[in-house]
Amino acid sequence: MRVRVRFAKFGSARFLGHLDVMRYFQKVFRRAELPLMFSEGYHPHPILSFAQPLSLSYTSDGEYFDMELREEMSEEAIAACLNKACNPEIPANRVTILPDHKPNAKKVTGMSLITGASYAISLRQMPQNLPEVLHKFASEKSYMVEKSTKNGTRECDLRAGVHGLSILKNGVITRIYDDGSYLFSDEDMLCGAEHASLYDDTAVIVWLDAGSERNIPADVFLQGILSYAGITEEKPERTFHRMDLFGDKDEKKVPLWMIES
Amino acid sequence: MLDIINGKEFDCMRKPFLPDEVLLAVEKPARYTGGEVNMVVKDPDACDIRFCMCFPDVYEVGMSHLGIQILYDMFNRRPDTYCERVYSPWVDLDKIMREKKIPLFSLETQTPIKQFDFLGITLQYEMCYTNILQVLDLAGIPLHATERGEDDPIVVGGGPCSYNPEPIADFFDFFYIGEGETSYDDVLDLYKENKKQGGTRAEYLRKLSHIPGMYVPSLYDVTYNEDGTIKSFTPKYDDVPKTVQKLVVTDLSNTVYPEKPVVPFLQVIQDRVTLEIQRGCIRGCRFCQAGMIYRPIRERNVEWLKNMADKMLQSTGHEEITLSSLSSSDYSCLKDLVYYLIDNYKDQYVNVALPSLRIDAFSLDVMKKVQDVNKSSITFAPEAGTQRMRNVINKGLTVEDILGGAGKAFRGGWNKVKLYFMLGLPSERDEDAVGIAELAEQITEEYYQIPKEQRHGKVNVTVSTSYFIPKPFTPFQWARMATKDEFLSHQRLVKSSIQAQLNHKSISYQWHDSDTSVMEGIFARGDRKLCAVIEEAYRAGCIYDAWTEYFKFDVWKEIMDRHGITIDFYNTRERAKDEILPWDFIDIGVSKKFLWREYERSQRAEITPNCRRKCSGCGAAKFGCGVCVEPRDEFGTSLCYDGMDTGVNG
Repeated sequence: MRVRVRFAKFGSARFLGHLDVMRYFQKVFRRAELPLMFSEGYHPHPILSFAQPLSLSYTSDGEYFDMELREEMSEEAIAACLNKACNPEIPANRVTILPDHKPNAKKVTGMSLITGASYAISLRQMPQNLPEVLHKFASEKSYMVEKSTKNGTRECDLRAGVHGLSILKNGVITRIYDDGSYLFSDEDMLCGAEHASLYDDTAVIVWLDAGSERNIPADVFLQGILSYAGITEEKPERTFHRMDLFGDKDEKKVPLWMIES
Repeated sequence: MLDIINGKEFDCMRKPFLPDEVLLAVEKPARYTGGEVNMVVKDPDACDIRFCMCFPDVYEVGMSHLGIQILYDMFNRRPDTYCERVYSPWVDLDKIMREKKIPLFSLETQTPIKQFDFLGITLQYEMCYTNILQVLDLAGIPLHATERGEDDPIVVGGGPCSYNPEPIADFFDFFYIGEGETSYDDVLDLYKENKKQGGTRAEYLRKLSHIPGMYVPSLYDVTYNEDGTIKSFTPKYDDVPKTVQKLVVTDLSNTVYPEKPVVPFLQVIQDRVTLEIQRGCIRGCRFCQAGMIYRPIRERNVEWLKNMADKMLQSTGHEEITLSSLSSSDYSCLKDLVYYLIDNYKDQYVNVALPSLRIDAFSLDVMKKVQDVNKSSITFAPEAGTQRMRNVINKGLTVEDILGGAGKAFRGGWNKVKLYFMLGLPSERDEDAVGIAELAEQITEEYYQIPKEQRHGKVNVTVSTSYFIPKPFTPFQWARMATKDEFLSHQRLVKSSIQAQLNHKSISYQWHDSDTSVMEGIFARGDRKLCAVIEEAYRAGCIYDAWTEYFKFDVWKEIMDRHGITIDFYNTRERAKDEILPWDFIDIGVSKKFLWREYERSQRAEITPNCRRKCSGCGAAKFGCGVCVEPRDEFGTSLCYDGMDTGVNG
């Protein structure tokens, strides 16, 4: 049985690398006594697939992995098992049972489904004219920035990779721009920012292209928007929080847990 | 889909002590952020005593140590005490902390160490001594115990190196000599009482010295003869005991054990459940300090161990369990325990990691069940290359044992053998070094006696040598240690002798760094005069001496020269029978008389039977436990004895 789990990562756990998180969950499954499917061979390991790694120091309420269980269980039972075995700073927060792969069909995992991500980004010194800057940015046709990749720096269109912009202030959301491609309510946003550490309780919320085809990292977005606003300071004090990861469903981008494949 | 409500009591936003830019600038920031599974969370304000436990090496090494987990668990069972942890910051963070004047802090509550009541430092190996100073210095605690004020933590040391605490005596308020499970309650209760009565630090330490096992170095005076040896070692006051009695747990099945050990996020060296099956050893190898200081051997009850294994695997989620002891083959219920673990956990994909066992039908059967025969190797630790030399060190392993064991393993499908030896043993001759190569060759020949069609490829023998370092409380505590040149010449002889063997292509050879061994030798049998050297080396930038890449022998040599400390005095000089040794004030139960007798027997290459075969009257019987109280037949042989004169293979 295939199961997709969404989890959060915050507090001191934000300094755990991707491999440490994977090792952590392998031990969670044992403590939870979940009947995980194991690979064959002398060093069997549980069959697990993690979605996009999170950068060190980022917090998140929207991390994912897919696992396979040997026995049928209800979502409630799986959630209860995980809940008793998780560390409070890396808790699972949503469990979805997925339909089995059709025989011979290409195996789809959380990782390959990803086409978008949303972040809450907070700055110690938020520019005063931030709403205007964001409005103006949204009205641009394109805005080219440099992005460093494995093969050196490359130009990419930051504007084309931004699909929504909001400002979160003291628990109130002001939507600035929305191209309609994402399904994400105000309530989703508040939930998704639950474990973010924000300066002045204020953040910019952004929906960005993510995944293997087009990927705009959150720090590239921030650096781009700051230079667009005429701020040249390198790496000002800030926090990044991933709210959720998205994939395509019926022409919309929806959180991964809503995609049943 | 389903939402999980996380209703746990926990400060969900634990804030790291270090700012983000520091954490992002260092390798593996998770070394410093804590928050691991099974970490104990308490309200520090509701605790009378705050104890910080330290392993003075990097996190991944320190977190692999069972002793700290035992004490951490034990202290935290006390409602009035909160025990936290700290490890040596790695060199990258060390540098930043000095530059930015960031104080050292604990993992649990990320609190500066200076705010604690106690700082407990475990002393597992001599080469960590400068790291002790690193920890004190970064914490802002004066290095010298005598310079500490009422607000500084009480600094206590324990563990194997506390059996000769003299080279680091100046840096500790007191040492706890012996097994931690026995008397810490008294230590902490006395602290509380003293505090309540408004007593000073000095008053506390004075009263503490009355508790057996507690050594307060500042309460003793040492004088020296002109030749540098000790003239007298005396308490400053009449109420301070002349000798410090080692503390021993008499019933190991009725003591604390961490049912919920802390599970690190980072990949540490021992990333598994460790089950200590027994403490002590019956074998009496003459080079082995652990074999003497943990006497007498005491076993844990097998049902208790099974229960503990279940609980620890459940609470940690570790995918591996290992048994810990000095000589597992001597544990009387080993089969029962090992088959229990394999049968119960094989289906749950829990790996049973085997400690070095004597190679026999049982161990080969077990190894086949838990390891991939094609990949794993079998290990022997003959320690010396000839029978004479093995008799000198009282290592009962014979060539027949090794060849017989290897032959069985080869027929069982193995083709890799590891051999461990020491070089520089007392009375070592060239033939002993050559013997190492010849033994390796004999093993390869044993392999080629198997018909070709039954072999599994080529045989592969790995020979490793380390250098022998005489340790306190062993029969060799008086012995001369070989010089670096002697080490190197024998190491070269082993190498060339291996080259000369017919099957030399099947034999590979690895050896240890000799400079580190020289320094370790000086610390191991050192006295208080070394405190100044260690401090100066630390000031000159020496830390992480246990890590070859950071060990600066030239710096050490230069400082020793300046202090008139010679390698000859500490290492290459044979001690006289009546010399006062720096650690003589400690009573480990095993008598100096017995150790001297053993030293003499070693010079005649005479074997001494193990504790189960026949009691040799070492003195540990006074503790009234373990092998010393096992029932015996009319020849004095323990009824628990399995008749094997060979101990562990490794």
